[in-house]
Amino acid sequence: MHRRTFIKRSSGSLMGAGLALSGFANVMQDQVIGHGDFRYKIDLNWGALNATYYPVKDCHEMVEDSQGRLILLTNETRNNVIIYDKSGKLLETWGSEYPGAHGLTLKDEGGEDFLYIADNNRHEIIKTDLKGKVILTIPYPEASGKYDKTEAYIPTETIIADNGDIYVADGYGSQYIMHYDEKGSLKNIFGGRGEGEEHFSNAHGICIDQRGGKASTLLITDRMENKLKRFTIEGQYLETIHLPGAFICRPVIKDQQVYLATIWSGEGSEGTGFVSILDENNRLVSAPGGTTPRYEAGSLKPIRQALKIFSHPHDVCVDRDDNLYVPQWNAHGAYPIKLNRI
Amino acid sequence: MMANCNSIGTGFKPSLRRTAGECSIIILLIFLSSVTNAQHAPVGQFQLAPPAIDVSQTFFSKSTSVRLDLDVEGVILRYALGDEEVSENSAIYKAPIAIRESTTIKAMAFHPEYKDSDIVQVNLFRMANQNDLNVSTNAIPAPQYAGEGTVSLLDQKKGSMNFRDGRWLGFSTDTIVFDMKIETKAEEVTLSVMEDHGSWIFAPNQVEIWEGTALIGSWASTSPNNFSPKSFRFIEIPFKADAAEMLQMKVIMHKIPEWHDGKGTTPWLFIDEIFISN
Repeated sequence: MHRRTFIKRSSGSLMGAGLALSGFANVMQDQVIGHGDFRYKIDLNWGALNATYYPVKDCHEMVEDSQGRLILLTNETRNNVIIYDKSGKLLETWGSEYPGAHGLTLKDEGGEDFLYIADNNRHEIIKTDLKGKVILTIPYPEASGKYDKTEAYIPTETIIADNGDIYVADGYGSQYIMHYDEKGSLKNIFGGRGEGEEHFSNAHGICIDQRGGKASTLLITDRMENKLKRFTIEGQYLETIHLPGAFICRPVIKDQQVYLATIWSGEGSEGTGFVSILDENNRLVSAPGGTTPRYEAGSLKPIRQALKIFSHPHDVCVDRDDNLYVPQWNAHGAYPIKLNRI
Repeated sequence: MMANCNSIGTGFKPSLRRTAGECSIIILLIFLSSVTNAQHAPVGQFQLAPPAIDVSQTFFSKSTSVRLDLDVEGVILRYALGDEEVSENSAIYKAPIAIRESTTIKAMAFHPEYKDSDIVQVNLFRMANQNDLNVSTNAIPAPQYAGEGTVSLLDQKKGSMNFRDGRWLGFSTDTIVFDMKIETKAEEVTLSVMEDHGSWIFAPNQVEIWEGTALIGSWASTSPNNFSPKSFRFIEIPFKADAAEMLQMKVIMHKIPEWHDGKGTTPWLFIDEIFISN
């Protein structure tokens, strides 16, 4: 055979194969969600486990520990705490005494990680080490005079300051914010129900904002109002960030951004939800699973779910590589979904 | 690869076949490596959420405007009115739609990267001028669901799925009688109610329109057989009456059916509007 003929034949078949490949590549393209600089691919299977042996009920919150492991909190008392490695492999589980396990915060205290669990049913905050050994239990703040019984206190979240002080949000109870020292002695109480921005109807989450080199402030979610409210650490109201249509859970700050699981959208209907990401000016810049963020005359246009990916996201965990983990509430035993930053 | 294929001598059949084989294997390996990396969800996996339907007035006298919204780059919104079904062949939404007659609007979202959304639907009602209707009642709504009193039933404001939104009147009695004074010719009265079985809220079973001792219109429906999701119901009772008549509308609630936790007790009636049409 002549060389030229062979080249024609093989280049023809190579081109054909190339065309077929690119056709298949379109079908195999990964879905990308989010807006602006914060876009993600979706790993639906990262957190999946054998549900017979490692079941979950509501997946409420997740944190990353100092070793890069991912720790999930669920109110399933077979295994309240589920610990994964970075790849999603199950490392260990523990916890059977947390029927109302809701809030999970991690704090590195002198080189050792501790967990703070807010339990709705026990009406308590429980501090443990990473193996589940109980270090401290903080019951309802009787000394404040604002609570006449345990059941009025249904804490949803904690945040720990660098000096060890503990802040607690009573998001399902009487809507107060408590400020304790590291031993659990009450130092201050503020918030509660009422008219006015300094009050709450659903103080679901709390974090400490230290961005921009400014003095630390508290960012507290009022989920029913679709608002984030900023307070001084002494409890003075400062400002409101309104995200209309977004029923946001706790704020999680990494670098200059605030990440918020948005459990419902629109009128708060079932099966809705997405993730909200705010920039250093607290403007919504990306909403993975939600509609395009748009501002008109300085106000955010109401946002809603755009894609049916998540069912009631309850928290966002941001790992050291800026990937996100989204545990879901009331989602028929669904495990967390991972979003890989691109 | 092309270099390998080029360096073939003429008439050397065994190595020709081998190199062609090598080319195919390399192509196959490239293809396989893209197929077996299934870590991330692919395009086409997820469904669009349905569009929002924003209506300026559900109950209108002359006209109303409907806006569809789902702010996703590349999305196409389609809609259909009346009895038409909405599909990929329906009209594309470009600007708010003016509605001048009672109708239903159905809408759906489409996008090349996502599965088609579910269909959403809203009912719109053209009514006679509410100034021509006066409604009063001796029935007392529950204090937490008293709205603005009977004014709430004539304000042309649609209540939401949240019965606590202040637009609904909530009653917990077997029979509620409304006195209606109509200043114009009318052919139908409509009750706008909601059903929320989880909150023990049911639609009426019977509605009767009386003019003095004459029954001039009636409607009846059996209780539901099983639990259904929250919904709005619009109960239309045709009747014939001349203007300026005093009419009585009797709304009758049966006891909650057997399959429900509240069986045998009186359900809640939630009503947000009464209007007439001609």
